[in-house]
Amino acid sequence: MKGSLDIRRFLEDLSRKKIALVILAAFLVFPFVTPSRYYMFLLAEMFIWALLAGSYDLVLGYTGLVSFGQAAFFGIGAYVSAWLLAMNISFVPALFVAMLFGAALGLAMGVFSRRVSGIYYALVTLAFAEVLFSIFTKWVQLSGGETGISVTRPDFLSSEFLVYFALGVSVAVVVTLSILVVHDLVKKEKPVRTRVLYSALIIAFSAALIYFVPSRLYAIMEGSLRESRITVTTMNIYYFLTLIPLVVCYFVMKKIVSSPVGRIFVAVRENEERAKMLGYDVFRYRLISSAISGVFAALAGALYAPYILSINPNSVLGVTITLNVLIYSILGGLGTLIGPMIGAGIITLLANELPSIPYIGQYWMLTLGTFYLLVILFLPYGIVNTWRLKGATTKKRLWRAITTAKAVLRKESS
Amino acid sequence: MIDPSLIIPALIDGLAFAMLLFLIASGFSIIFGLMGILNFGHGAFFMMGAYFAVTLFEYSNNFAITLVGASLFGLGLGVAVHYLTLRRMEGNPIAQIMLTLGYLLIFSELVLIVWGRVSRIFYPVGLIGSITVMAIQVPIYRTFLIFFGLVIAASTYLFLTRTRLGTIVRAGTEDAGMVEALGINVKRAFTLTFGLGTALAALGGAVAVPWVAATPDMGTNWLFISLVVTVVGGLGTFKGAFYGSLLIGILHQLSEYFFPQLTFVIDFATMMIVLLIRPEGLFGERK
Repeated sequence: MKGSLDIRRFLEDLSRKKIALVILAAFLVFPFVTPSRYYMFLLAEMFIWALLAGSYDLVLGYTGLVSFGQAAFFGIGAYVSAWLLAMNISFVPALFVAMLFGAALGLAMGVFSRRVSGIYYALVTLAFAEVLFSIFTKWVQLSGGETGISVTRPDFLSSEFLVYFALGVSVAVVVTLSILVVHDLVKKEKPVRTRVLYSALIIAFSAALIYFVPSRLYAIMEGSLRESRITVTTMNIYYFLTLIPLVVCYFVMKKIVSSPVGRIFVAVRENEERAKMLGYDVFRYRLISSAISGVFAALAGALYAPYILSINPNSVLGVTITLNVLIYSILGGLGTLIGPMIGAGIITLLANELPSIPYIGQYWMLTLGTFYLLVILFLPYGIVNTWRLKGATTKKRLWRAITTAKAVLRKESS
Repeated sequence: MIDPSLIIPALIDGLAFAMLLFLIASGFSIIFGLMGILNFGHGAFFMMGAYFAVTLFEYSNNFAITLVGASLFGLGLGVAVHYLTLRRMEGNPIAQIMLTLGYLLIFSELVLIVWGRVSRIFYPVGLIGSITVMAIQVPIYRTFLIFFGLVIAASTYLFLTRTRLGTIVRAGTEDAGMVEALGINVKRAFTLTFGLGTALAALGGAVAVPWVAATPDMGTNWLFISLVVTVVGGLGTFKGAFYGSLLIGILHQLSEYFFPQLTFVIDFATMMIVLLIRPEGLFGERK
């Protein structure tokens, strides 16, 4: 049975990723074991930046496009969700609308930068983001100008929101699952029976999820609120509201970069001319990469707006966002997806913790700047890439030592 | 809407602004042309020059000494930065960008620590005020800036075309490997050129202070506008930096006078249009 074999392989895959699963589990139970709202708040911020860093890695790390316009996606996401929330539209639909805007902006940016590559791509995207930034700064009715606009935080504890939240999560899970198996579905060498089985399973599962989960989750939340055994606070929900999209998006992005499309991204990064010679429409793949990145970055922005409660063009559209995300990516390691996310976590933690350290805390920006310099000088390939490189050589050395020892032993015994 | 009596003052401001832009953009462009480094710290050198000039003027009270001191300071800082760190990053453009960005962060913070958040300004004696020529008020300092900028542009041009180091720089822009093969120490030329570029930027910062004042955010602002200038003129070319400065400087000041809402939109839109029609810039060479 091919299907059962695949399930076994899937389980094996999972067991190989024990560390990742443990970390994920730790994040999931974290709000229930600690009363610290500060760390929950900090972690939620880390998740948002990690999502942005992941979206940036698709463009920079995988497609090799040095984009300086990531702030535009993030900012448009933040503003769209802020506007929609001000119009009393529920949060989850607002997120999806923001993602649509991100995709549109990504496409526009891709079209604008059609003729350029390399450093000029960086400049076109920078110009694009800066034009958007200038428009927003000057158009006060739209953006609130320098003082910005305050975001109405959606009522996370309202039953309507909980239903939407559950629905959104269900849809996201279904999408993830579909993406996880859709590649197997279209593979021609699979027998028709397996493909039909897969499709039926997905449809059944999605239907069940959408039918049962929202109502049940609503009941659970209602119950827990009434009994107040687990206190459901706004922060609690916000923590999950950022963690779940991050995890889902991580898997989606992982799937994208290991799909045929993702392979072509890498081909474009490695040698654009050769990819063109092999018959791939490089422009189309750059467009796809930019649009996908826009979607995730806009989602990060849309999550950020109700988190920070007040946004202005400088804080969400400014070039600082792009610079920060560049630094996350460099620190973590380009083209690894998890690397930039780790980088985002480390830098956010440092930026929040350094100011409270005595003596050097006063000059924390300076300390952080020096830290960047040291990282770039001594870890130019980022944490994850360096670790993989060094890890591989260490493993190889060990292996060589073992084989030599075996050979020596064999020689002695014979 | 457009007041015709404002056109001449706007043009004078535009030319003066163009000269400041030229001082920062020429170094930026030459550094990119020779070494392929997109120096994101260039605005920070401009800012350091400005603040250093503020302090120097407080002590010396002499404008000439201030300008010379600021350029020497920029030279030393640039040589140190390139020799100690940037040199190791050759062939890794992203790391170079990151490193120079790191300097932008560090210098901006350093300025906040040393000089504080308030903007600083000084007035050189004899260059303040304005004279009336044919019923038009002409600010003396801005006129001085135009002439000063032209002198510096001419001497930089002569330096590039008439001296040995200038020839090496021009040859290196064409093909650095070939120059090295001829037995010339290109590495040293790199460091010196980087220092010269930052010296020009620091000088620009110093002469900019009496007009625009030194502020902690000038590092980023001037970096972006010099980026626009060099891209419009053609990255890596001296000529492009000069004409690009003229174009953007005048355009910027005209829009500042007549459509203040749109100043930066116009700058970046110009850059985008140029990049779309002629990606190599108005004076760049098609590769």
